[in-house]
This record gives sequence, C-alpha cells and structure tokens, in this order.
Amino acid sequence: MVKALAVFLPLLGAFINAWLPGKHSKASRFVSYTVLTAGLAFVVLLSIQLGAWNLADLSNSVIFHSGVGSPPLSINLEITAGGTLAALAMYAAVIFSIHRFALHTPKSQPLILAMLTASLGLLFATDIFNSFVFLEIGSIATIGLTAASRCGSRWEAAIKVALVSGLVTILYLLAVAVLYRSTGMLTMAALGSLSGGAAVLVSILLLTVIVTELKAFPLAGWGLDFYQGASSNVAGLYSATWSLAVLMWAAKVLPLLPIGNPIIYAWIGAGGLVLSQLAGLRAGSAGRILGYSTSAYASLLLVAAGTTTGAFYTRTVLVLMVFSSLSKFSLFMLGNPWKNRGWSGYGTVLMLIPVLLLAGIPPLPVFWAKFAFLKHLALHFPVVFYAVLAGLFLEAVYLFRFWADRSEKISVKAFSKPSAVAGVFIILVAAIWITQLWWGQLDFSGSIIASSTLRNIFHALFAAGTLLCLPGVFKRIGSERNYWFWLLISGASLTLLPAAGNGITFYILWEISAFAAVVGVSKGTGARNGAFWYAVFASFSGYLLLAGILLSRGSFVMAGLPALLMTLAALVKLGQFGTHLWNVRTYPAAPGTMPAYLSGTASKAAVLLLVAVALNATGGALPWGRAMAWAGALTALAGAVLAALAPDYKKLLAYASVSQIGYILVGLGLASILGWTAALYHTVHHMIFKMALFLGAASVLYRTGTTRFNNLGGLVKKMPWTFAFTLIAVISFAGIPPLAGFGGKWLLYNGLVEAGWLPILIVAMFASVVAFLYSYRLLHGVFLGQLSPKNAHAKEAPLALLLPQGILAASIMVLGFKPTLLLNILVPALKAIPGLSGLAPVIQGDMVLTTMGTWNAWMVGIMVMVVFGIAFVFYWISGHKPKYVGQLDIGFAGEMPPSADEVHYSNNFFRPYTRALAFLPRIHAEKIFCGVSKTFSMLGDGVRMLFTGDGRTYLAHSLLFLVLLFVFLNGGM
Amino acid sequence: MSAEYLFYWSMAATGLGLVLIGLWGVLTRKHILRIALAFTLADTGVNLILVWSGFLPNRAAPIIDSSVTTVVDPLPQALVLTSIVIGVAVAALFVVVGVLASRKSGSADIRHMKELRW
Amino acid sequence: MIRTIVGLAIVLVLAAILITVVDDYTVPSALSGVGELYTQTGVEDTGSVNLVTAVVVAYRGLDTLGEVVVLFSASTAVVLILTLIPIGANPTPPSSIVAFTAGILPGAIILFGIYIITHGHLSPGGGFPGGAVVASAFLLVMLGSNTIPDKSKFLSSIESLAGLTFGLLGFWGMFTLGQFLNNLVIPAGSPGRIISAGIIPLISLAIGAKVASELSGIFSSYRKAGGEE
Repeated sequence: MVKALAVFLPLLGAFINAWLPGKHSKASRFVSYTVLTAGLAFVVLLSIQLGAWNLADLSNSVIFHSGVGSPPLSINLEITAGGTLAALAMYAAVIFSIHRFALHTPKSQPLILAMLTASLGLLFATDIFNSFVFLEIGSIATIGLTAASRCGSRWEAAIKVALVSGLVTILYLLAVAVLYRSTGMLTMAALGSLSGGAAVLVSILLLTVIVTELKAFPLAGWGLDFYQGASSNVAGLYSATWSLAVLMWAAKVLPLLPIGNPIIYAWIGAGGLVLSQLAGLRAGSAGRILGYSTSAYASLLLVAAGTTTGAFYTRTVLVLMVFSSLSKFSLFMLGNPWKNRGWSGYGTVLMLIPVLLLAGIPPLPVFWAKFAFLKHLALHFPVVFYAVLAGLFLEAVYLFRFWADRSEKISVKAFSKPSAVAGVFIILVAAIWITQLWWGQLDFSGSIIASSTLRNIFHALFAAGTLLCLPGVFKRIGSERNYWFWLLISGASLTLLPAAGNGITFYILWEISAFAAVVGVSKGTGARNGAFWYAVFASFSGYLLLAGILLSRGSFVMAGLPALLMTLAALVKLGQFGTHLWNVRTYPAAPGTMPAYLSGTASKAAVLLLVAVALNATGGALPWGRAMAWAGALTALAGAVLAALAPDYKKLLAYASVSQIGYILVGLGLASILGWTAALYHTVHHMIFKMALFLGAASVLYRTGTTRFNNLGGLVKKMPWTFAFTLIAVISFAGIPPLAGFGGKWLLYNGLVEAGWLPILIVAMFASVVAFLYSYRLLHGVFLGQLSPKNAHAKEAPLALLLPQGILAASIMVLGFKPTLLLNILVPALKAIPGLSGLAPVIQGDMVLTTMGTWNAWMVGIMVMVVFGIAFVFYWISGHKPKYVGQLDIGFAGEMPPSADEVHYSNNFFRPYTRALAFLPRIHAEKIFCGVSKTFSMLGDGVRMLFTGDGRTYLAHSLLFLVLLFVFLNGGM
Repeated sequence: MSAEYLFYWSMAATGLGLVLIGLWGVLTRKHILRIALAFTLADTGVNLILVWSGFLPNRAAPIIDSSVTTVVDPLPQALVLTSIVIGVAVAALFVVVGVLASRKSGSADIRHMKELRW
Repeated sequence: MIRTIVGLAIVLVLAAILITVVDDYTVPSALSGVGELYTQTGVEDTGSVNLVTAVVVAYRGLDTLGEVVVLFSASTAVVLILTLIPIGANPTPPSSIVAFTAGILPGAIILFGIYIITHGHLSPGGGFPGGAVVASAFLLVMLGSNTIPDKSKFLSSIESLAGLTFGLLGFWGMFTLGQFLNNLVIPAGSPGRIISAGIIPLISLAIGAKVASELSGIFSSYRKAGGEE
C-alpha cells in the first residue's frame, strides 16, 4: 500500500518546490530528484509485485483507496500491472529531462511535477469525474510549460492547447452530467449501465473528447500545431508523460463506452491513419512530423480498441504506446538538431534507433506488438489490415526522410545529451527484454527451404560475401565513417536467413539485414539521400513481405495473393526495373566495400525469397512466371542501356547489377529445371563477379578519390592487379566462353528455347549485346585510355582490397573451367523439386548435356587459352612498341580548348548511340516516381488543408465530428 | 406540479442555452478575450446542467439536521464546486496566454495567430 | 460570414441532439444512485452535517486534491509566464472611494471568509468559497493601493504549506486506515458541533489557505504585468 504513494510523491515534491525560495537551487533539485527516485523505486517494486514483467497478465492490480467508504461513494485508483510499466516510462522520462529545463525556465519544476502527478493519476483513474480533474491538471501544466518556454511560437501553441482544452472541458462535463443523471454513479463501470439516448449521447461526447485529446485524425490539428510550436524540451516531456497518460487512459475508457459495435473505432482509426499519414508526407518542420507520427499511433490505438479485446488488447496497446512515446521523447531530447551545425556519427545512430522503433522494425519492441496485432487484423479484419499497412508504410517514409534530413545536422554534442542517450538506452534494453519474451515464436529449422542443398548454397553465398567485404572495411576515404559493425550485423542475419523455419523468423532476419545495411550506407559521404531511398524501398518491400506472411494464415506463404505480394517484395528488393531507383542511388553513395556487399550479397536475399515463395506456394512454378520472365528480360535490357550511358563507375555498376539480376528473374520465371539451374548458377556467378567489380571500384575510389569517368582512365599502369581482376570479372559477365558467365547464359538460352519463349530469348540476347558496350566502357573509362594528371600518384590497391578480389577472380576462373563443380550439386537438388518442368541437364565428367546441345567447359577453356597464348607469343616476339599519348595531347585548330574533363575520351562516350536512338521515347523511371510522389503530395496537401491553423477551426472539427458520430450511430442503430 | 415542471426544465434549458451561446461565440468570435468570455459562459451553462442533474424540486439543501430530511443530491453540488474552481483556473491562464499572444502577434484577432499550420 | 453560418448550424444541430436525447427524462421525485446513499449514511460516515462538504472533502477528497493541484498549477503557470515578460509601469491610482473602502472593508471580509472556511462542515461553505472570499479582500487591498506590494514569497509559502498539509493529512488516513484522505483518523465528534467531522475542518482550512493564496498570487501577478507597456 505504501508503494502506491508513487502516485502522489511528485505532488509533494511540487508543493515543496514551490515553497523553496531560490527555485531550481540545489535544494529544490535535491527535492525533485528525491521524490522522483523514491517514486521510481516504488513503481519498480509495484511492477515486480504485480508480475508486470512477463506481460502475461497485465490486469493484476493494487487498489488505492481514497476518501470514506468504497466506490461508487468514494474514488479508487487502480494500479494495474500494465500501468506500472507506463508509469516507469513516465518517471524515467522526467528524471532524465528535468535538468534541461534549468537553463531556460528554472521555475518550472513544480509544473513538471504536477504534470507527472496528473499523468500518473490519469493512468490509474477509475472514476469519470476524477479523470476529468487529472485531465485539467495536465492541460494546465501543458499550457503553462509551453507558454513559459523560450521559443518563438510558444504563445500560439499554448493558445491552441487552451482553446481545445476549453472545449473538451465543456463536452466532458456535459457527459458527466448526463451520465450521473442517468445512472446515479460516476465510476467508469457505470458507463456500461447506460442505455438508450443517454448511452448514445455519452458515447459521442466522450468519444469526441478522446479523439480530440488523443490527437487522432481528423481532430489532430491542435496537436500538430502544439508539437510544431512548443520547444523540444516541452514537447519531449509532454509526449513521454502526458501524451502517454492520455493514450493509456483512452485505452481504458474506449472499451467501456456503450457504443454498440466497437468496430466504429477501427474505422475511424484506419481511415484516419491513412489520411493523416498522407498529410504527414508533406509536413516540413521536425516537431510537426513527430506530431503526425503521434497521430498515427493514436489511430492505431483506435484500431486496436475496435478490433481486439482482453489481455491481447492491453498488451498490444501498452507496448505500442509506451515505446512510441519513449522514442518520441528521445527524438525531441536530441534538442534542435536541425538548428545546430556539424554532426557526429553517433548522432545519426542515436536518432535512427527511435525512428526505426517508430517504424516498427525488428527487433525493436514495437515490432513484436505490431506483428501480433497485424496478424490478428489480417485474419479477422482484412480491409482494416490493408489500410493500416498502407498508413504504416507512409509513416515509415516520412520518418526516414526526417531522419535523412535531420541527422546530418545533428548536434556534435549528441553524446552530451544524457536524456536522449538514456531514452535510446531504455529502448535498447527493452528490445532485449521484449525480444526474449517473444523469442519462442522463432524457428530456425530451415523448413522454409526444404532442400538442404539449396539452403547450404545460400548460407555459403551470404557468409562468403560478407567475409570478403570485411578486410577492406578500414580502407575508407574522406569523411566516410566506420560501417563494419553494421555490415557484420547485416551479413550475419543474412547468413542465418536460409535457416528460417517460419514467416516471422524470415521477416525479422530480412528486416534486420536490410536496416543494418541502411545504417551502414548512411556512413558514406553525403550518403543520407542514398540511405533514405534504400530505407524507403526496404520498408516497402518489408511491408509487402509482411502482408504476404500475415495473409498466409500461419504457413509461410499461400498461393494466390500472399504469394504475389511476396514476389513483389522480392522484385522491389532486387531493384526490378521501375524500382531500380534505390539501387542506383544507394550503391554509389555507400561507403567502401558496402556497395559490393549490397549488390553482390544482400540482393541475393530476394532470390532466396523468390525460391522460397515458389517452393512453398506452388512447389516451383509460379503462375506469373512468364510475366516475371518478361519483366526480367526487359530489366536486363533497360539496365544495360542505362549502364552504358552512366557517367560514373559505381553508377554504371549499379545499373549493370540491375540488368544482370534480370537474367535471374528470367531463369526463375521459366520454372523448369534448366531455368532454375541457370538462375541459381547465375546467382552464384553474379555474386562473385559483382563483388569483384565493386571491390575494384572501391580500390579505385580509395586511391583516386573519385569514380567519375571524366577523372579516371589509364589506371592500368598504376593498378595492374586491380585491372587484371576487373578484366576477368568483365570477361566473365560479358559471357565470353572460357569464363564462368558463359555457362549461365548458355543454360538460360537452352531453357528459353526448351520452353519456346523466343521473344524473351531475343530480348535477353540483345541485352547481352548491350552488356558488351558497358563492359567496354567500364574497362576503357577507368583503366585504359590516358591517365589523368590528377591520378599521377595513384598506387596499386591495398592488400585488404586486393586479396578478396584475387579470391573472387580465382573463383571465376575455377567456375569457368569446371562449372560442373557447382552443377553437380545444383542439378540433383533441383531435380528433386517436383514442381519444376522439363528435363534436367545431364552431367558426364566435364560435359554438360541438354536436349539442345553439349558444353564442355574444360575443353573450351583449354582451347581458348591455347589460342590466346599463341596470339600473345606472336605479339611478344613482334617487339611492337606502342606510343603513349598524354590526355591533353590534342590539337584544337586555334579554338579555345575546353576543360580537361570535357575533352576526356570517356566524356559522353556513347553519344553516337544516344543520338541514333533519340527518336525512341525516353522512359524514365524517375519520372514515373515523380508522378507517383506528386500524386501523393497533392493528396497529402488536400488533407493538410483541414488544419488551417485557426484555433476555432479545430473546435469546429471536434463539434462536426460529434454531429457526424451522432448521425452515424443513430443511422446504424 | 406544473410550476415545478416548468422550473425543472427551464433550469436545464437555461444551462443548455448558455452552453450553446458559449459554443457559438467560441466558433465565431475573433477577439481572443471574447473567446475567453464565451468559454466562461459555456462553463457556467455546463455547471448549471451539472446542478440540474442532481436537482429535485421542492427539496432543501443537503445539510442534514433534525428539521431537514428531504434534500437534493449533494454529489452534483460537490462536482460543481470543483468545476467552478477549475473553470476559474483555466480562465485565468487563458487570459494571460491570450493577452501575451496578442501582444506578440500585434493584434488580439485569432485569425492572426496562424503561424503554425498544415 | 460563412463561419457565422457554420457556427450557427453546428450549434443548432447540437441543440437538437441534446434535446432529442434528454427527451426521455422525467422530473424525478426521489433520489437515486449514490445521492441516496450519501443522504442515508453521510452524516454517520463522516460526521459532517453538510453533505456537500462531506462529499467534497471526505468521500471524493481525491477530486478535491486534484482541484487544488489544478489551481496550484494554474497559479504557478501564471506567475511563471508573467515573470518572463517585462513588467508594466505603475498602475493607475485608485479613486478615493476605492481607496477608502479598501481601508475599512478587508478586515471584515477576511473574518467572513474565515467563518465560511471553518464552518464548511456545518453550513454552506468550506475551503473554496471561503478562500475565494479571503482572496477578494486581498484584491481590494491591491486595488486600493498605489504601489504593487510584493508579497509573492509570503503567498507561495502559505500556498506550499497548505498544499503539504493537505497531502500529509491524506497520507495520515492512508497509513492508519489504509484509505487516502479518510477524515476519521481522529474521532468524528458529535455532528453539528464546530469540532466534529474528523479532520474535515483542518482540510478545509488548508484548502482555504491555499485557494486564498493562489487566487491572490494570480491577482498580484496580473497587477504587476498589467500596466501600460
């Protein structure tokens, strides 16, 4: 019972503080910290006593009696297990932020403590009128703190809070009067005994009050203005205490309202979620963005109240609300990062963790609750499910944009902001705590990919790819920062990915690998934009995957819509043409060996997903295989064309990557043994050569500081080994016989002929021709031609970068001469899959036989080597001495010579082709995306117009909402 | 009978009328202090309705002594006491913030306080 | 114009809603719900013959504590906000009538206020009305003087002490009877006497002091900030 004092200790502190003469003197700080620490200790004891920490039964409670007699005569506070956890968050937030007010408003301590008391009171209130008193304390403290802070728009923000709380007072007291007149009681339980007209009236009044106080769309205007106008200290404190209290209180009251069918909450919530998040896309100021995010969580609460009940409801709401509030607290407590100059690497991460939490990325706590909640929605309320998913995706987009925009300017002293660090730390500890609670759901039996051979191939692929990127991680240039940790996390979860035994495990590993890579990418120079695009597409593909998994009702994937959604998820992740935007923005921006990892290794996760979907949904043949093959072929072609025209080494490789992945899609789309053999062979091969190429690019960047073709050229003399390895990779992917690339193409074309898909064959072949153009461009632009004087001092790449390239080049040679090493493993495994059609290639020694022909790689290789050897001997003995020409050794016939960059041989290399093809309509995926994003912007702007900034408009919104609710309820009854 | 009927309902109607006038004022007035006044008006109306919710005609105030046995409901009166004080507190704060906000924006017109929007 | 029409429309529709909903109410003839329980057992439970005070201070004491906090927060906020802005010049001097009245009335008013506070459990009144009356005396003093007396230290001390007293009286009940703010930690005495109803008179005093000091604090802040700029 004494522990229940936790609710009122802050109040005593407030009274004492108001009395102490020099406010915010040492004495008053001592008082504050004493009551806060004592209160915190009591709350912790209570939470242990009530068994809150395993989240099993959150309805355990201790009753705090007050007054004389018992309810309904007097008032009780019910200290529930769930409430203690929320109270813990509130106490922690106040303890970690109270010192920050010392600077600007030293006398605000009593108000802060009063706000905490009100929050705790509201959290535990069981009486309608008692809640009203706490609501008023909270509003007054908010208005006071806002108006007393030192930022420009404080008066306006305070006025809007005051206006809304005035209206809330009136509506609430009307509800109290009607409730009392009808039932003769004021306890929350009395709400249930209402009937008839009074029930409707009290419901609509209280629902309007709740939606307004929650700042849920469409009554969110005042909240947005408040978050925008209040100082970040006030807004942070507010979101972790008062806002959280209101959310938890609403969660308590909503199920008690005699509204008939609670599904109406879900409709308000789901509709509001989508619309408010559309508007959120257009929000500019940091505070406002977080305001929209608050609104999203309020809407989620409404959806939860409308669709779930009992312990599940309590747990979901508790986890969602407590952690979203804490993460907003941390973000606000980072101060005004957008106003400071300079930034630190820690700041980026510090800011990213709360953002990831808000976006519900595993393994952060909100994810677990969101996953369980969405699963429930997918099973029982599909329409609400789609709306919620769409809303959550939109939220993720603007949160990542917020992060990308702001973290660049985050304070140098981010680490000296203990409150933000503490908030993030709490989140991380909670992540471990909650993850271990839900750990049992995970399954690493690998049953998604039944064939252990395929599993092992992917395990090996991911592990090798990650390991080969690791030696070079410290070879960074300029302002690139350490990314090895994130590379390792991402690589580790990828390596585990094939072992996933159920949907949630797969999804978690998938998301961890994606978002660890996002952080890794963000460490590059000016890479925030690239990281943002990566994050957006990764979350888009993540949500598609999630939808697929959740709609599959327990199994990993079901045929039909879930399988389609998951296929789309894989395509987005692969950078299928149309979504390739992220590849070409992210790869060039990523630091050091990160692009090699992303393009060579991480993209194979999507291949794994496609394989898993095909195997689990239909046993191999996806119904949209042909469409996928077409998409793959066109991607191969378009990617190749764009690669040829790219002016930058890394960009060229990014487009080439998009193009090469098209072949994999064609192979998988064939759904024949030949096709799959080709696809998986090419998957391995692509990983090898693309990593070699990107590591080569990393070497060149490391030594020259640039990847623009204009500034490169002639590096063969400076970096012969890098050149040699790149050459091997280029020959291989161009599909020239002795090396590995030929086999993949041969198998693929065989498969296409076998299936009779000749048009696709033609497109794919044409794409291979275009590949020659860019492979030549690549070699010539970087290594051949004249050496730019800027690179006169370039040296051979360091061993850490060179060695992995050497290993990769050697693998290409081995795979080129002895492809049967891989095929011997692959073909039997694929033959065992019943869903694949066609005949398997037969392997006899070094010979590979299909119905179309035979291929003896060893023989061909030896022959080609012999021919090359003879040619080289002739060249050598001829004693031919080439003449070397400097880059600027050109006559200009009296004209003013243009800049060295422009006369560079590589400048506008393929101009003739571009001119020749100019009559073709230019399809820019960028433009399509611009169109899409413009449409969204317009929609968002349309929604935003509701929030005119005139306080009276917000009041009118509330009243109109009330009227509409009445009409709706009466129409529905 | 009819007199108490009339009294009873006119009490509710007065309260309701005050609330509605107050809300109308809140929605349509531009001057920040007029809005504050409108809120006070609506508050008063609500308080009247609260009192009405426990009112019984022809009964005494709820102070029990030997001569008084039939009284009105004491609870709403207690609520109103609380609500009045809260109303005073909110109004005091509102006026301060309103006056200072209008000093900042140079006018007491709420339409000029739209820096924060969208 | 549009706003007026929309406002009018909203208000009229609201009126219609409220009227249709309360349509099924009839004039009650007997108490029901907790009201009935209070009248039956109130005096016995609390020892206070004024049932409103019994409800305010004893049964629903938590509400009252909250209400005190509301006032406390508001006055703290007002003082806090007004200290942040430049203080205006001296106020306009009072007329001789006000000055004269302010010289003789406050004593009587304060006495009256104290009477209301201390007889809260016996007759209409209690801490809130009494405190407000006392504060009005302070207001009158302020209006009648040419200068602004700075009594904020004194006021805030009273305010805090009263608040603490209220809180600690509440804890007393919690520790002895397991019920926060239970008024019968001391014997109830015989109902109707001035010393009766347990600690209700004490709490009333605390509330009265707090309300008086807080309202006075708000007035004096207003007064300080109110001059011409």
